[in-house]
Amino acid sequence: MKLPVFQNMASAMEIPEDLAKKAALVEMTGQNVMRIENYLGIIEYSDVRLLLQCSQCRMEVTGRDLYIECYTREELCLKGWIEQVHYF
Amino acid sequence: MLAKGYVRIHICGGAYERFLNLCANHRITLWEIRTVGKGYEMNLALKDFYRLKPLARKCRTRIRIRRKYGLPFFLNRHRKRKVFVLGICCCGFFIFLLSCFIWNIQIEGNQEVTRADFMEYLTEQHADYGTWKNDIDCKKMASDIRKRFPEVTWVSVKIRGTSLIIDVQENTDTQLYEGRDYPDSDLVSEFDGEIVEMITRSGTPMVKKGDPVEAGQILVRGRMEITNDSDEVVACKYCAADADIYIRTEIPYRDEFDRAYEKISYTGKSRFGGYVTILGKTFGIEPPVVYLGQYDLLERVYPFRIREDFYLPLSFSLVTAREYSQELFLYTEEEAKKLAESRLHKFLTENEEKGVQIFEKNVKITISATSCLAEGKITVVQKAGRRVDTEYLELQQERNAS
Repeated sequence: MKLPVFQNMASAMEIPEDLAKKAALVEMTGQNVMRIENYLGIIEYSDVRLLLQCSQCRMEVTGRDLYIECYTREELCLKGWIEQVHYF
Repeated sequence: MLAKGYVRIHICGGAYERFLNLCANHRITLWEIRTVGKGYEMNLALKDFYRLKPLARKCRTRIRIRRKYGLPFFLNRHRKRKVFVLGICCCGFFIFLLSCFIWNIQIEGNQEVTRADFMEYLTEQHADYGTWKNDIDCKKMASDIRKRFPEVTWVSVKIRGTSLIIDVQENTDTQLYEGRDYPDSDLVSEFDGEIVEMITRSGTPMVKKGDPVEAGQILVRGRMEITNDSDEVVACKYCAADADIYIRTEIPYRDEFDRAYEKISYTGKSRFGGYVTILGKTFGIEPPVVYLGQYDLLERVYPFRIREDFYLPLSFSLVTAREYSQELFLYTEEEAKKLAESRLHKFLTENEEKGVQIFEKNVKITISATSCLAEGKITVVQKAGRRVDTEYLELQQERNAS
């Protein structure tokens, strides 16, 4: 797959992907806590589903009793019983 | 966050997710976002709440305040109770003011130097209870304690909370302490006996191993005489005598006690009283002991403290007067003998802890109808050498010169 010039430069200079490609950063602690950075916004949110718009894809988190512990421009902390994380 | 205040709001109607994204883009922090019914509930800071109106209008959402938290709301709720709030502030200020003084003094590690000695010294230095903390220089106090109490070899002074904590380590050895100026002195024997071991570091030894000595006899002289060819003393050099001298001596032991003794048994009747001590002044009620016969008083003091080292000048005392009756019993011969032996054992143990080596004991226990007597001699080996000022010698040359 031919990558764009910018991405080639970024990989050659070993720039992290979250800076170069603006990829979402996801940090999970067990099945209960998920910390997400580098997203654009919330598309849908309920206590069983969270749909986030990221730079290059959409991320869907499903589970039970989901709630957002904190939500800012930079970071989102999701807690609850996380069952599935789906990218599309 | 409580100091500035925050609110929990409920949003419904319109585009909820767009509202959340708009808040994030406008740097409004939201937390504890949960789905409640047909909307969301969330927390946000009070100052951010005032910025929500245009965002809510854009998303066509309705906002309702569910709960308010924080100091601004507390003050508003109690705006007609100004004196109550003033009282809380005064209480806080008073506690802060009291935290600037010393209300508790802990002294640990002392054995030879008693707590009373330390307290007397601290009172002289104006560093006892109720002293302003900034007036106490811990480093200077530590060095002053070392100078004042020669037995103390190491001391640490620190202030934690409202407690002044003094940790000391003592050394009761008679050898010279480093860095200390001793006057020219001799070492004399405190008791009669025989020299068992002697190591002289400075001075002139006057006795040697195996010599018998008497109490008051000079063991090591702090004067070194310089003689000429005719063995006449032409000069003297003085120093503080220093030596390790061990003497075997006999110490008399006598312990007599009555076979009859009174045993206390509590009847179960008791009366209570209590005191409150504030800034050194005591108020309270004494237990009504008029209803009791013979009684003893047990006082439990509970100092008031907020944290482990944060003591305040407030304490509560619970006084219990317990009635007792005394009955007369008589030790049997076996019990008396056992008691005499245990007292002898305690005496020997106390001496061993002081560094005395027990060589031999020759104690006889005699039990009569009314008393028990343990008498005899105990041969010990112990360190000797009491420091006395040395005698300055007037030399012939000085006399001729004068």
